[in-house]
Amino acid sequence: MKTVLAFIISIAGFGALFFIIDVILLNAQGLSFIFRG
Amino acid sequence: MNNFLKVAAFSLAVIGLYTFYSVWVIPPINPEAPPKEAVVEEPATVDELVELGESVYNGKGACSLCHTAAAGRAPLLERAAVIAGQRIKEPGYKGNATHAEGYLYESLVNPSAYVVPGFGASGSADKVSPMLDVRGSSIGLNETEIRAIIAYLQSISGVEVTIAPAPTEETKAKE
Amino acid sequence: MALSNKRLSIIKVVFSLSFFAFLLAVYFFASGQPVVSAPVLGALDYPATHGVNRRLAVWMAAQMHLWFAAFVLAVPILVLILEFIGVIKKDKRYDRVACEFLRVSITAFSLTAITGALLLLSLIVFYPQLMKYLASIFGPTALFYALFFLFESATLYAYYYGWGRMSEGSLKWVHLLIGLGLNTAGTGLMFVANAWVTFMMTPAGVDVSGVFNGNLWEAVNNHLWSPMNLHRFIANIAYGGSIVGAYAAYRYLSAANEKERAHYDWMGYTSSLIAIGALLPLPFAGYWLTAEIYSYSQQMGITLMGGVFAWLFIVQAVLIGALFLAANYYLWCGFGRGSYGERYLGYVKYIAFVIAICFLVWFTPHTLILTPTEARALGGQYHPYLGPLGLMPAKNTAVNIMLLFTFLSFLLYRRSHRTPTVAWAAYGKAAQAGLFTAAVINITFLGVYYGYFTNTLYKVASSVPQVATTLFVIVACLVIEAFMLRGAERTEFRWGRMPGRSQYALLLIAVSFTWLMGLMGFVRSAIRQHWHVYGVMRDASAEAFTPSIAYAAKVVSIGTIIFMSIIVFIFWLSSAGREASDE
Repeated sequence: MKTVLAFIISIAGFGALFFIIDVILLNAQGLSFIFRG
Repeated sequence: MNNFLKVAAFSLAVIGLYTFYSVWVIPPINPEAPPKEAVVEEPATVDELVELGESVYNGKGACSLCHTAAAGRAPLLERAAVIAGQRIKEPGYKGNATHAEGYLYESLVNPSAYVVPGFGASGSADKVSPMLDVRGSSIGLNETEIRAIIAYLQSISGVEVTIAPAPTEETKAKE
Repeated sequence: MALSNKRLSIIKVVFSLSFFAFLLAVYFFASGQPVVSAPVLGALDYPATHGVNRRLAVWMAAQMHLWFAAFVLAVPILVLILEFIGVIKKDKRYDRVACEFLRVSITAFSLTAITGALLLLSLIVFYPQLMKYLASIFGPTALFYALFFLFESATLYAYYYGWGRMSEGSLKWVHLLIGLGLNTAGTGLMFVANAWVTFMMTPAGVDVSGVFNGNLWEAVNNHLWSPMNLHRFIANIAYGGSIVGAYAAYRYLSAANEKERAHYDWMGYTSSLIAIGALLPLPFAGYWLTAEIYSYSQQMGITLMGGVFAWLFIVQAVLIGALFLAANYYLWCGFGRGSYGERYLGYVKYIAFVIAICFLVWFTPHTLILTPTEARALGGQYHPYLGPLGLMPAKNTAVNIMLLFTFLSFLLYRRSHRTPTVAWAAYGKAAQAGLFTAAVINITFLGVYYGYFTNTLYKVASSVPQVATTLFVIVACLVIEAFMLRGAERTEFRWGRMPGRSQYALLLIAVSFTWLMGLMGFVRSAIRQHWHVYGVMRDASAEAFTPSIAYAAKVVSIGTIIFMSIIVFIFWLSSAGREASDE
């Protein structure tokens, strides 16, 4: 049970980290995370 | 020896497979022959000019390479001559053209004078066009061919072709 | 019959010195050329070839040289790394295998020089005007090339023949330094030659008529120089690793006893690890190369990826897919080396399934060549459901997931004889699983959202965070693994316990790499189309037309067969020589 929880928390945690990486790397190319036309 | 033969046969089979795939499975496409440095005869009529424009558009000018829906990197040109008139009125327009024909000419020889929003070179915030001056070496159009392209664009846009077959003093002054 | 070592070394020294003298001659000749505009040539400006297809001759010579050069640049890198590891770990095994790598490849250096001379000669004979023009600009670089060549010969001989004498204490460090010098010289040679070939593609320092402005650095440091340097440096490592792996695979199959089998199994694994490891950052380098092509000329870029060569990249996808499948298969076979390996065999079918799907996505073309009837039946130029899979975002997504799952195979392989004993092992594994899951979700999101709901700029740009995600997962998992396996319970692990078919996977990798290099070399050259120097000097010879992919495939295949035959001959020579001196 605890390992399942750890698994889910990892997904959330790393997911958030990847979100930040995405934003940084897209901004560095002059683009925004949400596409606006 | 046995091992050597097995390994050799295996390698030849692998190479054979890749060759087979490249020769017979993928569609056979022959790249275009190098463009002939043909002497461009001065077109005598407007129709000849438009015809020349079409052949340059699809051939030497390589326009259809980028200006298609599939490529997605350049504005589509079916109504270019009509839209040209609107572009020069846009608030962001900083070029020198005063009429549609002039805008088309400017877009060919100085594409970065005005970049349609969304089509700028990556990282240039739409200030620099990825297109080069068509008179430059890799495309190398001369003035006749440029005027022919403009005539062709006007013709497909459904507007009156305002380019004269031969350059007059008037058109020279405009440019 | 076999030449004595001493006689062989004298021959090699004489050869190197003569080649060096030849290069000096080229330098002095080239430096005397006046600055000219690029000549406008006609068909008659090319010397008669008496039935020889000049373009094919130069192509073959160039490709042979590139294959050999890639190999002899990679081997010193591998050898130096292995020797260094051997010193740090105080394990003689690494030192012995490093020496063996070098011994086995030494003849390849001569062949690299021979094919290089052949290339230079054929270029001068068949394309004299082009060479005169290039020499007028790059003349001074020939001096650098000659000096690097001399330095490389000297360090190579000192490194090889001094191995035994400089094996202990501070002399060993001197030996390592010589090895570093060897690598520097080789890399320098490649950088100089890269300048010439990239100038032909993205010329700089010249005006539209080809008149050189005198700034040699500008001509050298053109758009593609740095990307080409990086790409070739990394690719060479991958390639060299794969050739050595193939050598080890063959020796494994023909091993006489268990000890030999164990030795070659270990050699094959080590070199493949380096090869596949070097394969991982290669997409980055390729992306940079392509981006620079696009930024120099949109036209050249679209010819490369969206025009007539789009299908070539489907062929490339097939090759890369084969490479990944072979690498994974080799790892799965490797589960059998450790006694815990069996517990992971159940996962293999899932990993294989994912990799196969990714391969199929990579395989799927976008533009279909259809007759009008077919197009009408299909409702357009593209398949309504599979068409979107042909676009770059789908490809990028697929390759990143393939990389991730290959890495997963590697992680499981390492666990085939290690069981973590730390208290937090279950959480560590959960974290790794969470990392993988989040990464797959992120990569898929990036591919689907930016790939299909935005414009072209986003489509391409989204590949950067995708690769970053993959690299992050690899590094993070390795870090977690390092901590988690501290004091791990280790069980029996035996080199040499691999089925014979696993070695064929290594052979597949080497052959595919060779063929792929040939194909990619073709496309790089072909996007120059009918130009000797793009936009500056037109090719007016009878062979100026761009060949089709089918034609290129046949040429590459013949070249691959010739090259692999010579490599086999080189390996055979080295073992024959050793047997002769044993007697």
